[in-house]
Amino acid sequence: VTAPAGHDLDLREIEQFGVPRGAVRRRARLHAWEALWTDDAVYWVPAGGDLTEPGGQMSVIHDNRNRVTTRLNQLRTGRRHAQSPPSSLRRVRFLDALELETIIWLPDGHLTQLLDPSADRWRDA
Amino acid sequence: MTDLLPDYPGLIEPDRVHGSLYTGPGIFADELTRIWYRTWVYAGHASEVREPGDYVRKRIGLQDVIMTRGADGAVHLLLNRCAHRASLVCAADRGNAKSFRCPYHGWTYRNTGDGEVELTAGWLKHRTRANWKLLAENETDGYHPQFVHGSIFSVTQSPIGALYSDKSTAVTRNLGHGHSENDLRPEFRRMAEPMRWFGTTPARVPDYVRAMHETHGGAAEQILIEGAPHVMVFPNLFIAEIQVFVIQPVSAGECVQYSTAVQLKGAPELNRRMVSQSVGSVGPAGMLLADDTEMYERDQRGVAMLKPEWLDLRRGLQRERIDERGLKVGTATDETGMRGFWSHYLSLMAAA
Repeated sequence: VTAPAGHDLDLREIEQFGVPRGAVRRRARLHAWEALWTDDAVYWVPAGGDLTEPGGQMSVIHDNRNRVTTRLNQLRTGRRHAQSPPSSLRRVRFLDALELETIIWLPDGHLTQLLDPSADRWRDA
Repeated sequence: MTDLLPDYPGLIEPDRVHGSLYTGPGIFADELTRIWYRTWVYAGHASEVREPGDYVRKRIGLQDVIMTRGADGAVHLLLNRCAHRASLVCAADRGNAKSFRCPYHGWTYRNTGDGEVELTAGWLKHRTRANWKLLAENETDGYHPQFVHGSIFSVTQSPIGALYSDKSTAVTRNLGHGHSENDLRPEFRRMAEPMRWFGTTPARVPDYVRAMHETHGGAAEQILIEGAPHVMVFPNLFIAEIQVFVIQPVSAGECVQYSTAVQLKGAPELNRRMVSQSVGSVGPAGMLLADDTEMYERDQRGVAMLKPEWLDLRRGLQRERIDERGLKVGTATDETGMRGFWSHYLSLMAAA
C-alpha cells in the first residue's frame, strides 16, 4: 500500500487491501499476502498510548518490511507453537488481530487509523 | 468449606511438585496471603511517575493500587478503593493529579498516600490462562528455548539458541530467596565481542559505546562484552537483558503478563533499538513470548487433568555444584532455578 507524498491514504484503498488479506489468510496463502506489502510499509498494531509515533514505545506489532518476512518465515517453519498447529486455545491469532485494528504508518509522516485501538481489546480477546 | 491448610511439605519435594499447586483455588488464596500481600513484590518503577502528581495504576496480587509521586517528591502506593463504600476511586490507567475523588459520593484523597534505568516505553498486557507459577518457573528455564523458540532462532540465524544448549558454558544459578538467573557471561566472555549480547556491534551504537567508555573507563570493555542480566526476582519480576516483565496473578488458572523495554537515561540510540527488539519478541504477537505463553496454557490444561499428580523437577539435580559465592549452580539447561523457586515457596507457605 502506498500513497502519493503529501496525500492521505485513500480509505477505499485500505479496504481493498484488507479484503484479500482475509481471503488469502484463510487459504493459507501467506506468500500472496506477503506480496501485498511494499518495501516502505510499516505494520503497526499500537497498544494504546501515543498514536503519532510508534518507534519510542511498546506496540503489539511494529514491523518493517523485513520483519514481516521474518514473522511469516517463522510461521512457515511449522514450529510457531502459538499458531501451528492452530491453537485450540482462544488466543487472538496475529493475523486476525491485525484486522481488528491496524494503523499504517507512511514514511512521509501520514498516518491512517482504521479503528480506535484499545489495549483492553487484547486482554479480553 | 473447612479451611484445612494443604500439607505443603508433602506437595513440594526436591525433585517434583504436586499438580494441585497450580490449580487449587484454596492454594491461590493462601498464596495471596502468604506471598503477594506479605513479602516484597515488584509494583512499579520510579521512572513511571517522574513529576509530582504523576500517577499510574498497578496491581499487587488482586489489589488495585495507585503509584503516585507526591508534592514532596516521594513515591507512594495508595489502595485504589474508597474508604466509604469500597468503590474504585481512580479509573484512568495513568495521569497527573493532586488528589483522587471517588465518583460515587465524592470522597477525596490526597495523592501522598536511580540508577540510570527508566521504564518509560509503556507496557504490553498479555492475558494468560495459566497459573502464575508456571511463568515464574519458565523465566530462568534454559531447557526450553531450543524447543519453544527453535522456529525464530532458525529463521533469524540467532546465536541465542546455542547459549541454551547442552554445549553451552552458561550456568543456571539459584540466587536464594526464590530468585534465580541464567548467567550467560561465560559464553559472552568466550566470544569476547562487545555488544554481542545485544546482537549488534559497537559500530552500530557508537554514542552508547562512547558514553560507556567515558563512564566506566577500563572496565567498559568487559561490561560491553558480558551484557545484561537474565534474572527472575521472586515472585513476579523478570529482567531479560533488555526487557522487564511483571507477572500479575488473577486466579489459580489465570494471570496477566506485563512487558516493557528497558530504557537507559540519555541513550536514545540504544533505547529505540531496545523498544524495537522488545516489540518483536514480547506480547501476544511476539515472536518469542507468544510461544512461551502457548506452553503455559498447555501446561495449565495438563495440570487440570489432575492425573498423574506430579510434575518433574529433576533435570540436573545430580550435577549441581556450589560456586565461589556459595550459591547452587547447574548447567545452562538445568532446572536449578525452578528448584530454588520451590524451596523458597515452601518456606513461605509452610511457615507458621
